Amino acid sequence: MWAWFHKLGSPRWFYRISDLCLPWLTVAGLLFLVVGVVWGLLFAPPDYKQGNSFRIFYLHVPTAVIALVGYYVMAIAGAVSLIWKMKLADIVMKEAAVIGALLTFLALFTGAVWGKPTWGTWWVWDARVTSMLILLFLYIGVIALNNAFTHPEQSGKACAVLSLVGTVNIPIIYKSVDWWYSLHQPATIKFTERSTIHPDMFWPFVVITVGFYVLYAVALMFNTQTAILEREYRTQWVRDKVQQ
Amino acid sequence: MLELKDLSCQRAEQALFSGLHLHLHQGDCVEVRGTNGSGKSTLLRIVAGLAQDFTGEVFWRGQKVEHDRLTFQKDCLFLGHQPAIKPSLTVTENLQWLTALKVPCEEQRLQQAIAQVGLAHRAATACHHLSAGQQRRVALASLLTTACDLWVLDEPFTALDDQGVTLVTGLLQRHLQLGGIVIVATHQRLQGIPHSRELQL
Amino acid sequence: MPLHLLFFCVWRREWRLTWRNISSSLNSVWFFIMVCTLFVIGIGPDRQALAEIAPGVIWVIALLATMLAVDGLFRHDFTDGSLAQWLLSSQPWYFLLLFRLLTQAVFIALPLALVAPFLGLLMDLPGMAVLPLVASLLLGIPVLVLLGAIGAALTVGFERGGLLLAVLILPLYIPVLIFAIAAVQAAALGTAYSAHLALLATLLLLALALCPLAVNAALRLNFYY
Repeated sequence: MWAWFHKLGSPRWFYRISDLCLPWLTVAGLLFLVVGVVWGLLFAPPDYKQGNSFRIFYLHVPTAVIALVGYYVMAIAGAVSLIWKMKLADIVMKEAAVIGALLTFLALFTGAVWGKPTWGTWWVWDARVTSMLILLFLYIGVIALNNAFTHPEQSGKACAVLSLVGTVNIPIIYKSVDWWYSLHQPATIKFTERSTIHPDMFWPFVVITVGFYVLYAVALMFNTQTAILEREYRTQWVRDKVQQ
Repeated sequence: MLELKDLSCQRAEQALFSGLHLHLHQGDCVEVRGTNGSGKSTLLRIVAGLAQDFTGEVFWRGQKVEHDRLTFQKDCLFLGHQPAIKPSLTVTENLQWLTALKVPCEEQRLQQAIAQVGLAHRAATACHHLSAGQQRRVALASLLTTACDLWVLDEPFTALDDQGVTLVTGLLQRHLQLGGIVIVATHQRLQGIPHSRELQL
Repeated sequence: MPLHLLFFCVWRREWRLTWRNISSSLNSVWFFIMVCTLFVIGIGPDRQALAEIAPGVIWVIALLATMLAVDGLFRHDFTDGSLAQWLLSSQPWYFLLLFRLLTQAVFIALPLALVAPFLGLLMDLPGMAVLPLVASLLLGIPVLVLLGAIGAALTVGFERGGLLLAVLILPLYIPVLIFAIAAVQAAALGTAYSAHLALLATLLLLALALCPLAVNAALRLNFYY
């Protein structure tokens, strides 16, 4: 088990394995996404209140979910790199920060596009929007800190500490913002209760979400590969790779 | 007592040192020598437990240092380039604090140590009135008050006058006679320490 | 050394350092007062409008003043070598850091909390909200100092870390700001505010327990090389 774990931590091994699975994952992710998008945008029934404008939720909700999950991916990678001093985890953490920030921005943007026809304004200081904005700030903090250091090991430790502090803080921030402004719609999908949306609208949503998860993994792997090449440029195997 | 096993350290492109072995017993003194940037300070910071970017092991009294850091830190005193003196505190207050970080001692012993480094008349002066050499002496006084077995000294002669150099040599001689261990990085050769070894980086 | 003696040692040292540099220690207070004045000038002297925004404005400025005070918390110690001695101490590092942060939290929070009633007066804050304002500052600013210390420890190696520090820690300050302003606003409306203060106290206890861990890790990484 531990041998396997440490093997996974070697950038070279990761590079080889991810090279093998990347094409398959990309195809699978795109397939899910295309099926889900076509289903959701063309075949699912329109919402009885919001008409067709709700369809942007098929993009908005998965990005928002993965933006939040991405923070935990980043923090866990940070913890691994801090505890086991694993270089790969360090690289994954830094790449997860950039992708997470982009997804958070995308979620805010799609939310604004949805808000214009629904609320009549681009921006509403509602609890979820505000929390998303704060999440973006947290990501920006990690990215800024990473760029401030010149040594990758040092910046890795610093970002890991900051993202762990952020992880402890996120539930508190969410609760406090919720409390600050409870003027928002009740959560639409809760797995503990019966869902309030129609199954015809729900299934394409699940398919798209799965597609997003897979593509998130693809993006993370691909960026990690690139970062590995940059960081390990002195080693023999990277030189061989580049020469090919 | 102190053992360095297979110590290696790399900076960017080049290795500072690799496969370094060192075994020090009671009363041993090692002078670390080398040109600027050869890794003298880095080696001392690794031994003291500040720098972590290295491979290899450090043993103290037969135990790995990382297993029982607190014991090691009780026994080891590190004096770096900066003397760790607060300008707005007096000589006594500074020394009192530096000592308390290890094991606190009585006022009388503090004053003795201050007198020994030749600052008796300035004991109650704020350190921003002192020269760089005098501030260095305050830091050196903490060698006397802390009773640590292992001294890790980075350029202890910086800013000291001839008298100060004699003073440090005297401190080192007595410490070694009492069975202490010294690792010192310095440009000038130590005088009057008969069995000191040299480590060229 | 017993812990209470260690605390006394740390307290005495921090007190001497603060007291002998009192003019620079008080700069955060002047900042607090001056920015409040700027706000009044920017908004206009309408008493009703001022009273309405007073809790938020006073608290946001107190938050910024705290952040500026925290920025230099470890920088001098880093450059003059004291920080290395702290980290190599044979005293338990957790308590050493905890005591230091606690002491600094008191020294930073107390003057700001003492000035706040006068600023409340200037901004026409209702009289019954003044005491809750002071209480919220006394409970909230220490949390800000503890969280800020993490950022200060991470940026200690940068000559001009102030802006970076802001980017790192301002998002973490939001819960404190929300609960504290809610307490003052509730008091201004004449409703119960003890629950908000209790939440602030909870945050304070949580921060006291956890922040020294993060600060320790953050300080050590600056000596990595």
